[in-house]
Amino acid sequence: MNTNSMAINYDLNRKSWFSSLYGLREVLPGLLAMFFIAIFSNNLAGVPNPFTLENLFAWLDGVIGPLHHQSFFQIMNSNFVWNPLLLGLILGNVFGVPDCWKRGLSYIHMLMPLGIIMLAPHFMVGHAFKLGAAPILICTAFLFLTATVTLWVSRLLRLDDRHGSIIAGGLATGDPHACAILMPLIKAKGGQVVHATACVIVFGLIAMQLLPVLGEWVGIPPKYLGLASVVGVGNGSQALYAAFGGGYEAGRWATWFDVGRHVIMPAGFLYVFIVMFVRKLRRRNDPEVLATRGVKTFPVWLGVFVFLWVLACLHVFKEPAHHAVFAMVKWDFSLAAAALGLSLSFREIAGHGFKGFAVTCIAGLIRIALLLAAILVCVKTGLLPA
Amino acid sequence: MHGIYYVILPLFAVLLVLLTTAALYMGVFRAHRDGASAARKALSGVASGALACLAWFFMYSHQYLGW
Repeated sequence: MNTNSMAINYDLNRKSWFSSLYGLREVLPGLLAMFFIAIFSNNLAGVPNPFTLENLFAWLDGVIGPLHHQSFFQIMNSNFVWNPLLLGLILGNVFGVPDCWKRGLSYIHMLMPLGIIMLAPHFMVGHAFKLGAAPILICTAFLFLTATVTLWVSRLLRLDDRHGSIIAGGLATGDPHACAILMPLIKAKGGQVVHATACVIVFGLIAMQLLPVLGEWVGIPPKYLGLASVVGVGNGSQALYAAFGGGYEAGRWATWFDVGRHVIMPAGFLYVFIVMFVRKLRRRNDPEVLATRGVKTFPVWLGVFVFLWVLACLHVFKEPAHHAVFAMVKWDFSLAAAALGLSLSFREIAGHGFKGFAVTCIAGLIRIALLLAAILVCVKTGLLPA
Repeated sequence: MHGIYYVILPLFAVLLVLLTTAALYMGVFRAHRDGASAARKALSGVASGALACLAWFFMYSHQYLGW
């Protein structure tokens, strides 16, 4: 049946605007696949299933033992997005994905924006005020600087601009989650997102070994080695590994400073989106500009996210509500990541090659060099009291 | 457990059982196909429902949401 006759049939048979949706029978297999991958990956609210990848990793962490006070799988960034993605990727590549699953898996396009909107109460700027002005300024300045430098390096190395934007988001915010969050905004391919996430995590593994050595070499005091780890390495446990690698005091300070990086995370991915969106508007007819190509106007749901983020910063959401909403976010992203994993092949991910990793390393190393210099100047001038 | 959770958690348990039943019915017994006989559909429905109930009974029995 060609597209025209499908449209005529649809017009004849439709009863209400609900007729445009797929029927339950068409989407059920795909939804069930996402659901079962989700409940066997993460411990989700309301599900009493103990046989999850999350629990397996936690058990293995107990066997391996702590590395600089951190769990191995936390250092590898295992989380509620990564676990179902990994499981979906393995199942999809080993057993294949039947065609009847594909309509259900397309629900990822609704789940991603919904999950991002629900993330808003997670970022309360007020939580970072305890750090004082100078550390907050350093966190904010390096967020925008890293994003800008990464976008610039990716243009210099002629990396696909969608891939570069996703790396910029992940590296600047210091959280590989941001790569998945940017996917629907940038209209990046699934393979680019997973490749970018892997680049950010692998660079984090290198940076967490490098930073304590460099910090000691330039003479950063332990307190600010904590700040340097949080901003220069990021990725949660990788930053703590780096700081504890420099000493116990630096590690304790890193847990104190981490909130500064965390609360401004939305600014990072909003910045990358807005830069790429404005660039696309300016160069509408340039075939090389691919990022945000399918986005015609500023997305309404992103406006809803920003509105809710402002409300969160004004403490409109009380703490129990924040926890309940975050349980829903875990559900949402678990389903979406399962669908993403199922829809990708290993070849598609590896096909993006080495260039993305080179961009991540160059931008990440520039950030570390500038950060250590800035912190050293601030310590010498007394802006950061010892 | 208090308040709204008395309503939500039992409903969620029902949903888990139904979804597992559907998955077994379609994925294991393959009874959703047009070619399957009525007897096969009925038996598969009962069998997948029973298996789903059994699986979740044991899962619910070993953690904090349990009876």
